[in-house]
Order: sequence, then structure tokens, then C-alpha cells
Amino acid sequence: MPQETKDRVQDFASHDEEPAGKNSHTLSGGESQSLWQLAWRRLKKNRLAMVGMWVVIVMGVIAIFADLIAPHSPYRQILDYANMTEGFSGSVLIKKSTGGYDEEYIPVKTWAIAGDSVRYTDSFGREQIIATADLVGKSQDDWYWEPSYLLGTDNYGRDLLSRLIHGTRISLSIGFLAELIALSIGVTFGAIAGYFRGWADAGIMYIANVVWSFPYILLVIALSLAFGVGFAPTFVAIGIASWVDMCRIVRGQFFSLRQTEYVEATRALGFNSMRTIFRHILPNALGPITVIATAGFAMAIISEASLAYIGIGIQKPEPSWGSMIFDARDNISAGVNIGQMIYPCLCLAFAVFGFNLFGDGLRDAFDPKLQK
Amino acid sequence: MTTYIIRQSIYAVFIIIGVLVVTFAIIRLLPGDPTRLAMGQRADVQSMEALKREWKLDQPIHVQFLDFMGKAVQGDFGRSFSTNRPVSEAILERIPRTAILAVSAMFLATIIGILIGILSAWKPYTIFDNAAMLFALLGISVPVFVLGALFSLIFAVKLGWFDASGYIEEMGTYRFNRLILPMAALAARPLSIFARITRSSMLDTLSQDYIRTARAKGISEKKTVLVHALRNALNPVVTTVSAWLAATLAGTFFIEQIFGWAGVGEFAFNAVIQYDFPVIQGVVVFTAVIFVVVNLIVDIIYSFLDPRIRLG
Repeated sequence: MPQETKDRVQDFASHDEEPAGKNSHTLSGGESQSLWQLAWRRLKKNRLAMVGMWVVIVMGVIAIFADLIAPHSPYRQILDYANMTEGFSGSVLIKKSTGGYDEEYIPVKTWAIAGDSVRYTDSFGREQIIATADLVGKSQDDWYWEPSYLLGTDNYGRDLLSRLIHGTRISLSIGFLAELIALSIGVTFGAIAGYFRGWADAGIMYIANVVWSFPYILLVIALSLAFGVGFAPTFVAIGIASWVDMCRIVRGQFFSLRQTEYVEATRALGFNSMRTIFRHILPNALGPITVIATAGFAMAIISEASLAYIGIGIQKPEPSWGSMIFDARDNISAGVNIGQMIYPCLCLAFAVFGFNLFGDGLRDAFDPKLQK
Repeated sequence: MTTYIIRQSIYAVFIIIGVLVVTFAIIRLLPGDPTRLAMGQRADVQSMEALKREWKLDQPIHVQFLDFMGKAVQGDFGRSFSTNRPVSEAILERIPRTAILAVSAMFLATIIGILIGILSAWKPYTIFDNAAMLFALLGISVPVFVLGALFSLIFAVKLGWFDASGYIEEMGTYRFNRLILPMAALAARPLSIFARITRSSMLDTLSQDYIRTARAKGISEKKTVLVHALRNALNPVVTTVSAWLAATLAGTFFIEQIFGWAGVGEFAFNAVIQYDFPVIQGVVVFTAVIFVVVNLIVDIIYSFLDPRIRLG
């Protein structure tokens, strides 16, 4: 719809504080690009959308650098320190790995060096002694450690904060990959249906309606049961179940864009369908696609957590927010610290909220009519 | 009119056939031996062979498919592996419980959601509107199982205000206290969506010329908004509500598990944990059929109310 696109651009331009000369300059550089620049300008003014954007960016950084940011390994268990509350700090001696086992963390209440060995009282209050040679490294700095747990520990004495941080990585990577699949299927189907219409459209919309008729979460679960558990099956299952919205939007965009003069011109010039679709129609539909993709990303994060909550999807000991919530629910009835459940809940809600804030802002930025 | 109803009904039948095909494909064509999945790793060869024969897994795929379709049309989805009861019998027994929960949640969501939407659109960009829309976005963002888990933790376990111990009918007596938390948790998301859609649809309508005319005529603001604008703004809302009603009937999955509500959702949840395939298959098909049928009925009612639908 170049007519509408033009209207929008003019609409943008007339509302913009930039001098008109600058706008006409960007217009000559190509409409899709200027639409993006103008949308960005509009987005920048939307405070909530910027908050959402920063949430997304910060989470992305946390996900990428999870190993550097997390204070502990998300897997390291010190069972004596299970279910500790916020700010707990312990003291452990680190014993050398023997016979193929990992290093052993011995929680101590008191300890003192006695010659070439260390006397300590263990967590049951018993006096013990261990040779310094059996401990890791050479100096006290190597084998004595005071781990502190900012948000407390879980049922296995693992650091909650570190698990949440690594959970961000799982959540975002599965969300991203699932949305990538949904995007590819949805855009392809939507473009074919909207461009070729007729039987192709009827067939694709039939498939979309069938998929849409399944209760979404049950479809994701059924697919994920069929594909198996773990990282790849999870994002594939979510992606395959989530393309319908994208397909509908792209189809609608193609329906209207196809009737425009510039698309007719590409046909008159003898361009083939592929070139028209990818070079001329698709770039003009990118705004709505971005909006739907952002919402889909948020939905994929929810789906991943849902699967992990049920116990399919990401498997233990991998830290997924969903499985952390489920495990904590079991523990809470036993009366342990409620942070185990509250924090992953907050992380999940915060992440999805951020994406939705950003998505809403994008929608308003691409569709200025809503803003008035 | 009749043509429209017939056309829509035939399309709905085809959708249901498609649903059956997809379900069949998911359960049978994907890797993994269904009998192994159904009976677990320790199953002995004999019972696995027996099950293979019962499911006609030793037959070619098209025979399996026709067998599945034939039974599905009669509502036969086999027996549950954990209880050995016919799946459809168990589902029918549980439907009323799920319906109580889903319908009451949708009732709450529709009334409050539309009300918030109207108030927001009436005075847009005020503190009320901004706060309501922020909360609505939050309501969309918080996954239903998170909300359910938090509600049960805060209001039942910590504060003890409500009973979260499950289905309201207990030995013949009804305890509606138990309905409150699952209903509220289930309503939050649709409520938020209805509020947002009502608001944007109302804003759209309020900017139309005929509303300006109504105002110019001196009709009271209340009447303008509630009569002239609302009637036209409700169309997209009704569509969304009906889709959500169908989806909620099907989607009380997490809430029923969290609050121990012995409905279809809890049935499905336990089946997923136990890899009870006939139950999963039955619930998936069943809920999809409910979804299609409810939407078909709403479509037909809608076409009576709005002639543009059946003509367009």
C-alpha cells in the first residue's frame, strides 16, 4: 500500500519536529528505510517502550555473558547449604578431586591450621582433621572459600542467583530460536497465501485454521513429547506451534500491498514472483512483522517456561525458570524460603513484560494512527 | 443465511478432520515407539506385542489411520494407561468441573475487562488509563502458572484468606471459596486482553464522525459513550471473547494442576507427566473440537446479529 505508506510517511513528517528538508532527503533514500528511521524517532519518544527495550538489551547481555556475570556455577551443589535465605554466606574447605570425582566442598563451622593439616568442625559439629596435601592448591586462598549467596540457595544448595542468570540464557536462546522458526514458516506461508491467493491461499489458511484450533499449550506439549526432551526439541516444538499469527499478518499485508501501483509496476517490468516478493513487498511489510515477532518472542519465553514447569522441555540440572518454579512449589509446602519461587517468577514476568512493552511501543511507532 | 450456516458447518467439519490428521501424525509418525512410550522402559515383549496389535501398529499406516479416524468419530480414544478407564468417559465426567471454572473466569474477565476498556477510552492518557493499560500489559505478560503459583502462595498458604484445596464440590456440598483463586488467576490474561481491545476499539469509534454528530446534538456524554459508541465498538470485543471462551474451556491446564481442580486440565497435566498417550490424544482432540464448535456457534449467532458477516 504505497498510498497508505506515503500517507503514513507524510503523517510522520507532519508530526515531526525535524525540518521538512531533512525528511525529504531521507525519503529519496528509499521509503522502507525512512519508515524505519521515523519509527525509531517515534519509538525514542515513548518512555515505556524505551524501558522495554532496555530490559530486552540488558537481558540479552546477561544471557550472552552469563558465565562471567554469575557468581557461582549454576550446577555446584553444597547440600549442607540447601534452602538458605538471601545473603547467606558459608565457609568451605575444598578437597582435591579423587578417583574421578569432582572437587569436594566441605562446609565447616570453625577451622584452624595445625601444622600440615587442618582441624575443623563439620556441619554436624563433629571434630575432623584433614591433611593440607588433600586440599586443593597450595595456600589457604586456594582451599578455603567463603561462598556468599545473594539470593539464597535452592533445594540442592545451588546458588539461586547464578541459576537465574543462566536461566536467562536458556529462556532467551530458546525464545529466539523458536521465534526464528515461527517467523520463517509464518512469513513463507503468509507470503505465498497473500501473493498467489486462490488455492494456495485456501490451502494455507486451512492448515493455519487447523493449527489454530488446537489449544496452544497442548499443541506445544504434544509436539514436544513427540520430539523428545532437551534444548533443540523444545525450540522446534514451540516454533512449529507458533507461526499462525505471523502467517495471518503477513498474508494480510501481502493482500493489500499486492494491489499497489509499484507492485503492479514490477509485474509490468517482468520481474519474477520471487523478486517481487522478497525485494519489493516484504520490505514494506517489515514493520508489522517486527511487531508480531516481538510478541511471539515473549510468547515463546512463556512456552519454554511452561514446558520446563511440566517437566518436559529443558531437563534438570539445566536451570530453566519454569522448572525452578515447579521445584520451589514442592519445597514451599515444606516451609522453606519463598524466594526460591518468587525470584524465578519475577524474572519470567519481568522478561515477558519487557518484550511486550517494547512490542507495544514498536506497534505504536509503526502505526502512527494509533498514537492520536 | 442457510447457505452461510451450511458453508461454515462444512468448513468446521473439515477443520476437525484436519485436527484428527495432525493428532494422528504427531502421535504415530514421529520417531519413537508409541508402545514403548506408553508402557515405559520395563514393559515386557508380550504386552508390547499385544498393544501393537490393539493399536494396529503391525498394519500399514493407512489402515492405522482409518482405524484411528473410525474410532475417533465415535469418540473412542482408547483406555488410559494409568487407570485403564475409557478416555472419553473420564473426560465427560470432568467437563462440568472445568466448565464451572472456565465460564466463571470468562464472566469475570468479560465484565471487568470491558468496563476498564470503556473507562480508559473515555478519558484516554489520564492517570487511570495509563495505569490500567500498564496493568493490562502486565496481565498479558505474567504466565498463567506463575500467577496461579503466586496466588496460591500468597493468598492461600501465607495469608490463609482462601482455600486452595481444589474442586468446590465435596461430598455434596459446594465450597465457592475454593473457586475464587483459580478463577482470578485464570481470568487475568483474558481480562487484560479484553480491556486493551475494548479500549482501542472504543478510541477508534469515538473518533468517528457520527459520535461528533451525537455530541453536537447535545446528547449526554454518558449516552454517547455507552449507547452510540459502545454498540459499534463491541464487535471486535465479541470476537475475542468468544475465541477466549473456547480457548479457556480448553486451557485450564496449569490452573487446575496448581489448585488441584479435578477437571479436564488436571487430567491432561497428569497424563503428560505419566506419558499417558491415549489421554493426551483424547484431550487434545476433544478440546480442539470444543474450540471449533464454540467458534462455529458464535459465528452463526454473530451472523444473525451482523448481516455484513454472512454477506461479506
